Amino acid sequence: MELVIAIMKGYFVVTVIVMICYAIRHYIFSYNRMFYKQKVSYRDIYDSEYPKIAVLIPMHNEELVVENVLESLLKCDYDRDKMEIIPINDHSDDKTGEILDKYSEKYNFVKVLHRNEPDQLRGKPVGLNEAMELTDAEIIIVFDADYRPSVNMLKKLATAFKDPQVGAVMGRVIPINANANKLTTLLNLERTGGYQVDQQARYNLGLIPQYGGTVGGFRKELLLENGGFDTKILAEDTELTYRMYLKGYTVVYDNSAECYEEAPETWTVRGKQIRRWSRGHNEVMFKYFWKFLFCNNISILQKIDGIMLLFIYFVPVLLFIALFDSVGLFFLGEMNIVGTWMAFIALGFYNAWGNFAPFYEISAGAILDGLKKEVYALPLLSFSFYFYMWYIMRGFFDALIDVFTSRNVTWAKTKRFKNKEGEAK
Amino acid sequence: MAKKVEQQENNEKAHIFYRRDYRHVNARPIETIFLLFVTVVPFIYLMIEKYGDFAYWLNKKTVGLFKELFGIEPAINKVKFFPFTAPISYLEISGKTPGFTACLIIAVLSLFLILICLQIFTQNKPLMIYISISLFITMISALYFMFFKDKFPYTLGSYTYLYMSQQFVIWCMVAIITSVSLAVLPGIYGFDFLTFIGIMVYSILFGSVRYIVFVLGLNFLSNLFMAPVYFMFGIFLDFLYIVAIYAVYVRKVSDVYSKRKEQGRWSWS
Repeated sequence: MELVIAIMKGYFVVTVIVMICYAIRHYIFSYNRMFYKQKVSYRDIYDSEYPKIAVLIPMHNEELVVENVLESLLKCDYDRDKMEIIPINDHSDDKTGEILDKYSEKYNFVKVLHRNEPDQLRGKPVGLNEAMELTDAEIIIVFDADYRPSVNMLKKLATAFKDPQVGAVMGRVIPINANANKLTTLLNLERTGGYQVDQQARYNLGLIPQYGGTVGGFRKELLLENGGFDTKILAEDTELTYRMYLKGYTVVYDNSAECYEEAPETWTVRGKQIRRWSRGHNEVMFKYFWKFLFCNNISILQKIDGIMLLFIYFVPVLLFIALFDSVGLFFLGEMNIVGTWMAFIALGFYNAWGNFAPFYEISAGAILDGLKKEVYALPLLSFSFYFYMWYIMRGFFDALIDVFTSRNVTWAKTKRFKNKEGEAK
Repeated sequence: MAKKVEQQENNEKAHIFYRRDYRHVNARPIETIFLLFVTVVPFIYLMIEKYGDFAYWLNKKTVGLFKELFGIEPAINKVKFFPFTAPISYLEISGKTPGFTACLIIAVLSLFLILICLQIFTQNKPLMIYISISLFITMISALYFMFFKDKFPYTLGSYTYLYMSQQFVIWCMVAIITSVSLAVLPGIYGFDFLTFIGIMVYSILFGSVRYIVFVLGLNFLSNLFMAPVYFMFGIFLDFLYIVAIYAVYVRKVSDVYSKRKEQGRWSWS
């Protein structure tokens, strides 16, 4: 029994230490972003030949939003002779294919990849792999179907690739429906903390800004020389980040490359999304933890940051177990240790999930963005964290099952809420 | 003179609008250290000097309420918990242990309510999950009292002792976390200090009222509810109001820094 109590106390102490480490990490990010010089993404390159790019847009039943993303891309100021748009129609059974064919007929640089064979492997990674084989562009830019890039987005993303060490570029994601309801307000706050502060600070400090799988681009050859995206991993974006760094390349974050997304408007949809992201991210953690730890291409600070990033979707699992571990210690009469350090466990419950930004990091982002009444939603982070914790746990166990069974991932998309004119459904 | 002022205004940095991409505020290390110094240090000193007296006063009030509501007058004991503070007071009271039937009813009711929360009230899932976790802990507590009643490690008195001893640490931590969280934001002179005061005053008031409510409530209901009130209405709820008051400060800072006069404080890249 004493051994059990010792293990439980040890686990509690380890979780507190982990929480303190993350709190310090995000404090450094917040302070850096708020008060220090910012690293600007290749703004000094303004007169240069842009590379040929292929814009890939994976889609599955996206009839509600497909025209929005295509119209936005058509308005971009990138030279059309150096651009291809390849929407990937992955086994849609709505009007997505029809709509895409109309654009393909009208514009010669829009080339649709229809994937309709019943025995084909489905999913974003496999769709991207096939689409990459169809283009001779050196840079691949990926957007999700519900995104709306700004006019100069493609140029901003492509510029950084003039630096040969850049393997991938990531822009900033902003919810377009931030004021729809409380959930979207919280998501806007999370995005603010995650991009405005977290990503930018990691770029400033030369750490590991993350490629997010959308609103970003990468060098095609780097991926194809290793067989493309791993089709067994749901978070192909996170996987690409670590693959780049292991090869000695860097990921650039451009805070000015803003793109607008449709954030989920119901908790049910959000829960499914979180579960999927947790599954994918934890799959990457299982695959890359040891490789990253022992890689010689990476500085020690990048290693620390990279490993902490890998565990982002595992920490809520730790916290969930810590909560019930402390309940157990309570019933075993060990309330002393529980009570004294519980504040750090509680601090973790006021973090945005995803980048694990604490409330002070989100607040810093809110001030930089000039957000006003939205900040009053900050206390609600705690309740949403319980929600996220639940779905992240489920995603973690999905990832564990994936590791043991080597099962293939299937297509999972987020439900859309807007139609062509941006009206809510 | 008026023309000179107008010219000066036209040259001011306040006219420049800084995009959100790369704007930042200049670091203010001296003000930051000063803020930390004038908030955390005096508060912790006050806690060390006065906490023993405060704990005794709070327990006296609680005993008064016990007499009024339950007709009993628990004794107040003191014990040295921290070497550098006065002894901490707590109540000498055993509390109520629930019977088997009561535990069974509470366990079944908790399970039933969990199912209701998760299956029926799906619009507000986060709140339902929070309530479900609270009910789950209640259910665990009820099952514990059904089968291991004699092994429960706390009397109501020992609970008061642990609460008072931990509250000292929690209030110190709240002070440090609040001050450090304020230091990471651009400041409004005096308002950041006021925010700190507001959070600590509320924390002490809320912690004191909660202590009285918990102790009286647990004496009325039973020790079964010790675990759920501690975990789901304790430190986690403390952070709720800390972040709420902090959000008011953040809103104020955001408003001020959006105004033309404060645009002079931004820097670019």
